[in-house]
Amino acid sequence: MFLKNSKHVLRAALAVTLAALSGSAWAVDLNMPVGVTPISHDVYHLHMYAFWMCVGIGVVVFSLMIFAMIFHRKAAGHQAAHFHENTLLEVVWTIIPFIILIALAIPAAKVLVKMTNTSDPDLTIKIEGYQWKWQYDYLQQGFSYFSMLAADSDAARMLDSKISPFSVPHYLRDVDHPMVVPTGKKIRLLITANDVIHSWYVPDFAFKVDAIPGFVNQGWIKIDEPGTYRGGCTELCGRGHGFMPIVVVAESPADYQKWLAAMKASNGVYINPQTLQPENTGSPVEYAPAQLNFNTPSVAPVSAAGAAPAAPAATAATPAASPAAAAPKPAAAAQAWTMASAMARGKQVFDNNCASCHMPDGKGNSAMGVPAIAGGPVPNGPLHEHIELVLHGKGIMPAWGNILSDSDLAAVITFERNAFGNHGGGLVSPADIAKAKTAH
Amino acid sequence: MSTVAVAHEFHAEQPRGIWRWITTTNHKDIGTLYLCFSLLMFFVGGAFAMLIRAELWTPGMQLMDPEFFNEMTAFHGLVMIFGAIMPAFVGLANWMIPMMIGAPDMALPRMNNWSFWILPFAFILLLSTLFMPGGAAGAGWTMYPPLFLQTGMALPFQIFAIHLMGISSVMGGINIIATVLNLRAPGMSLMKMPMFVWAWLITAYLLIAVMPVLAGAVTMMLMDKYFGTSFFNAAGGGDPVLYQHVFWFFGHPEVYIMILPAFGIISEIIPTFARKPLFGYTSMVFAIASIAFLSFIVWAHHMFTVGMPLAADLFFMFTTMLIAVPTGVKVFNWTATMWRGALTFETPMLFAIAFVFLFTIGGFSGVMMALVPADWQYHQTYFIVAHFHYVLVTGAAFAIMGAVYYWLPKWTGHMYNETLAKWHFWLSAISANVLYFPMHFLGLAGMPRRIPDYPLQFTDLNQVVSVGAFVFGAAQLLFVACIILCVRGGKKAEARAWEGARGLEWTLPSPAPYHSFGEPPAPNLIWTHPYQDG
Amino acid sequence: MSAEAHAGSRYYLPHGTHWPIMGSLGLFSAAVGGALWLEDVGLGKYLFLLGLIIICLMMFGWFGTVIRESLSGSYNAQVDRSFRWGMTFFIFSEVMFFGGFFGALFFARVFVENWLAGGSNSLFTNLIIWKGYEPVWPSNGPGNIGGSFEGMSATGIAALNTLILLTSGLTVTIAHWGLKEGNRKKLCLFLLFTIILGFSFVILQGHEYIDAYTRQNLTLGSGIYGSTFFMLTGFHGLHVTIGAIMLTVILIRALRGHFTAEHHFAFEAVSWYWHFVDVVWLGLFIFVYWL
Ligand code: HEA
Ligand code: HEA
Ligand code: HEC
Ligand code: CUA
Ligand SMILES: [Cu+2]
Repeated sequence: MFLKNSKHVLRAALAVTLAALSGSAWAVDLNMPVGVTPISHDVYHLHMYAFWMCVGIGVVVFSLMIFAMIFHRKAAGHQAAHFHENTLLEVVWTIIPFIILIALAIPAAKVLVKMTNTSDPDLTIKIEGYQWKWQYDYLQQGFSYFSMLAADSDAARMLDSKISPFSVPHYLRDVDHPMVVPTGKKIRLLITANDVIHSWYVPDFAFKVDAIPGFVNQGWIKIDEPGTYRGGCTELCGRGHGFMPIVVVAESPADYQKWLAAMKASNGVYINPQTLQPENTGSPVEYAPAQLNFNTPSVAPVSAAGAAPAAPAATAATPAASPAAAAPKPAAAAQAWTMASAMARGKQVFDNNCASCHMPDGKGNSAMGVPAIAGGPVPNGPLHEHIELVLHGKGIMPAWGNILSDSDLAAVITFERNAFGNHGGGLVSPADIAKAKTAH
Repeated sequence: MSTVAVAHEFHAEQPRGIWRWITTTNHKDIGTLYLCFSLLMFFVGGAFAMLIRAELWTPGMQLMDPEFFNEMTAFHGLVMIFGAIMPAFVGLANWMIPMMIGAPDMALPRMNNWSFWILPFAFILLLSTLFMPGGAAGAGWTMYPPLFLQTGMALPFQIFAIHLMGISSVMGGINIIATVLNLRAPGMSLMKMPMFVWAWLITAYLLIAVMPVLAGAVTMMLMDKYFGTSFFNAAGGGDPVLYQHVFWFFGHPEVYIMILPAFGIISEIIPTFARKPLFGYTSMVFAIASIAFLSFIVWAHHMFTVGMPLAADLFFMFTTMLIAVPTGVKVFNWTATMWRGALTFETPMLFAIAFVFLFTIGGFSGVMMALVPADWQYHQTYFIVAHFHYVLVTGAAFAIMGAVYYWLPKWTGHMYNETLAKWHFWLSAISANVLYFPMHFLGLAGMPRRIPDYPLQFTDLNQVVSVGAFVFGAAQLLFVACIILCVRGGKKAEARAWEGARGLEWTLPSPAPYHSFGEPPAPNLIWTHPYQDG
Repeated sequence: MSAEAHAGSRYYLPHGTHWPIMGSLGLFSAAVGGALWLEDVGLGKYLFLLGLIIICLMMFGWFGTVIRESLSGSYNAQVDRSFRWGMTFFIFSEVMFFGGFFGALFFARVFVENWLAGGSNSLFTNLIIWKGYEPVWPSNGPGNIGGSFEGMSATGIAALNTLILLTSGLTVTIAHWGLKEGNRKKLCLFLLFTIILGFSFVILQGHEYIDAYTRQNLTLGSGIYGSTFFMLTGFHGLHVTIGAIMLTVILIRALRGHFTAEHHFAFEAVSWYWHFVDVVWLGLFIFVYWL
């Protein structure tokens, strides 16, 4: 292990030395990216400007000290002088830093004013942070989707996974459903969070804004060139903080329009921006209902899966039913809504979303204050209360209504009522969930 | 000398064994307790850091659950700040301030005992949460809600631990202020006080001003969790960011609490080994005072990405940058003190010089982060981690190590082993830079902090960092060795252990008698103070 | 009282003391117990109570020792000054503690309400999350947390309590004059008045709280208004209670003949504390009840 890695160490040591010696090619990798937005260029230049200022001051101060250390040594026979004051000098070295600071503050203030000016956007996208995924809500287009760590990274990152991260392309920098945006347009990003504070950071955009539950922050980007830009969550948000990357695919406006059209027509399935083909793998691909109609008439499509099965329970197939979180199961769409399928799917949804707190055996976690599902009053009580609780949450218990699809919700509730020795009974259909949602 | 008689008078009633240490009201005993405690905590916090660095050796999760990693990050920060750095400074204050101002002891000796003896209990409370079902709080040392509120039963324990630390610090601060203002020997006017005493006087004031605010912040959190209040809940008209404002109103002065005493120490050491009075004594005092004042109006520079209004961003950017001016005055004054001195490079001086270089580097990155647009890139990346380890480790911790070497002869009566100490210094100074310098690059390349696992392109630099960390950690074993050897024996130290040293503490024999100045020192001794020289 | 004879020029240094470690154990027990109690673990509340009892015993013992030393004349003027600095800065720390909560109140009222309603750069907070929310005060937030409630008025009990505390500030000062004149009767009488006023304040506040919970539906859970109201007035009420207890101790000591016209730091410390509590109340009255 160590031997394998020592290669990296050597290389890096070399890199650091080289970079220190010269502003060589290595330095590019080691420095802040210049980025691809007007702001990121400004920020890069501000950064370099401040950096060279500091280097300048450092050179002066450090050379004086080094000079004294070499020439004013006792060992070199130097006798100590006795001065301990010089008002003129002291005034000078108070004023000069002050002037330098003003020279730093003016350009910084200019860039700041520019970056906070979010007016007149061409497009507005809302970004919502969840533990531990992002939701992109195309407000004016009326659709939204979740974006989470790609499955290959997710598998490799597990403790004792036996999968080398080095074998995974874009390890921890890839998501199932990237955000797609057009180049050359001013895009206003509205940032908020559902549970705890997150922060949406893409270095190439010099964009980092905190996502704060209950508040909406804003900022803007305007991307020069098409490409795939990667970043991640930068505010500690719990266990999965290191595992909620951000991928933004910037396309020419024409390509972007094609993607938009395909998205709108896809009836809830995520369209891969590169291939324009529907995605069938990865985490939930259904649309959660847009939470706001902003500047446009309400298009808010009800969750496709929920709306479809108008027919009562058992037999209705859910056309766009998604595979359970992070568990590719393309055949799901064709399955009938039976007790067996709902239970199987419910178990997966439970393991992926609920077991972290309620434990895989449904025994709960008393230390965290999470009650047991096994034998719990709610799963063995009235159905509508159970649905209400899962939809809207309570205390630490998240509100799953906007996170999981109706069919996943139906499945997991069915599962909870019939597994772990519970006898709540009944097969819950996605339509029940949709009904409960509208009834509220 | 009268001091001998006094020591004798009190010695008769001295209890023995552990009970002596538990009940002692003697400033030297209590100082020793603080210093030992802080060394222990430095190793505990350091061990957490070693786990962090081991996990970050290579991509993928090797050793621990991500949640445990978060706990390590949080506890590393908390233990280092509240357990290692702050108690070390209070310990030094206890030992040195009475000797430096010609006082018999601290002003309120019983309360002094209590200030210390709360700490071990506070840390038992804090560290015990690591073993609790549901785990400790993994929300960073800053404990932001709502994340922190997701903690299970560990939450009230951690909050009460912080309350206890606050009580301890406030009492410590009160004691130092009362001592400095009231127990100075005749002739020791404020503007004749050693710089370390000045620095601590102002630090104590900061402590008393901000620790209660931290207590308030965590109390609000406790209420939100258990009593249904809505301080940090938007639905109830509160705001998670409110916590951040209150916390950083404490937190920023807190970082100066951890650096001002260091400034004081450096201002003692450099004149001694330059054999030349401190340059610009008066401006040094005013610089510390202005830093302390400014520290109350810059707090939101930790929150440039929370979406504050433009005017607030601008205000906090400008005030933050202003701090560079008084800090610069200090750096220039130290340089001018060395200028045309007769320098020698014993270990304390080496640490002091390293401090001036490396702290300044940390200060530079601080000023860069004060520029809001640039901070959008730096914030919550390893660039920040680099910044604060430069100011905290190669700043505060180096100053503490320098101080320990500087005053060990006075404490123990023996000289430490200079060769071993030099090894400690050089290993530390070099490995600290291997450890922290590449963090700048990691941050600029976009590596967020507080992550247990990272994308592949950060591998190389992280391995350099980890190697630096292990070497730095191992080097600290030499520090302990130096201290133990020096306590056990060594060349006999003279009263004035360093040729250029001129404070009052050097007029007492080494080791210093149990009670420092039973009778106030003769005023003419005070005049030999370096600042008044020439 | 032949104190001055002993009080030499030398600064009094106590010998070893076991009170602090006892205090620490008390704090530890109270903290562990309190935390367990919050988590509903059986033994918690007993441990908490035990801690409080230990702390009380410690205070009795510690202060008892100090009083004995003071009476026996061990403290010279310099020691007295140390106590003064100590008390001054202790009160300063209390001011900062309240400052944190006042800061929270101002922040919530001035900024957060405005932002939730779309002010400043928070337009979308209002458009997207809290649609149509208007800033109001008293507020329990856009989520109407805790249900609608009635805020506090400045004219009811609050005004009466203001009067009471201001008067008590006066009576404690008169008591001080009495002490300085050597008029022990005046001292004790006005101390007694002060104490009665102090406890009346606490009782009235209790009424106010009961009313808030039963009639006004104003609770700790009533959004940010309930939170700030109860935290500020609650901590203040706690301080009044502690102050009144301390005044009672002072009264008992005065009745026993402690304190001289020149030498009465304990009295002064408590009266400073009382004035501090008074001033905090004025802040509360203005910013919590009135404006
Ligand atoms: C001892 C502790 C210490 C000290 C002294 C400082 C000193 C400074 N710090 Fe630092 N800081 C921390 C500890 C400290 N900091 C910690 C722990 C954090 C992270 C907390 C967390 O999030 O966990 C932090 C974070 C932090 C941030 C937040 C970054 C972010 O989260 O986005 C900022 C932003 O402005 C900042 C700025 C500064 C500045 C301007 C100074 C200045 O005081 C520095 C002044 C010194 C100099 C500038 C050098 C000497 C001067 C000259 C030679 C004169 C000439 C110079 C110029 C004209 C430039 N610090
Ligand atoms: C106050 C002082 C202080 C000190 C002295 C240190 C010392 C060290 N810190 Fe620091 N650190 C902080 C304060 C400090 N830190 C703070 C406030 C944070 C932020 C926390 C947060 O995000 O909330 C932080 C965060 C932090 C991080 C980021 C974690 C993250 O974001 O996930 C890292 C990562 O490398 C790190 C590393 C180290 C290392 C390697 C040392 C070393 O210098 C430690 C060296 C000491 C020892 C190692 C102990 C002594 C030796 C032994 C135990 C012997 C055995 C060891 C060996 C043989 C190897 N620290
Ligand atoms: C972050 C932790 C967490 C996760 C994840 C979580 N829950 Fe919960 N759950 C809780 C907590 C806490 C409660 C107790 C709520 C209360 O009563 O205050 C709870 C309560 C419940 C109850 C009521 C139990 C009873 O009988 O009292 C049900 C049912 C439930 N959750 C279902 C789910 C489902 C379904 C999922 C996943 C889709 C899920 N939970 C995921 C924390 C969680
Ligand atoms: Cu989301 Cu960190
Ligand atoms: Cu700061």
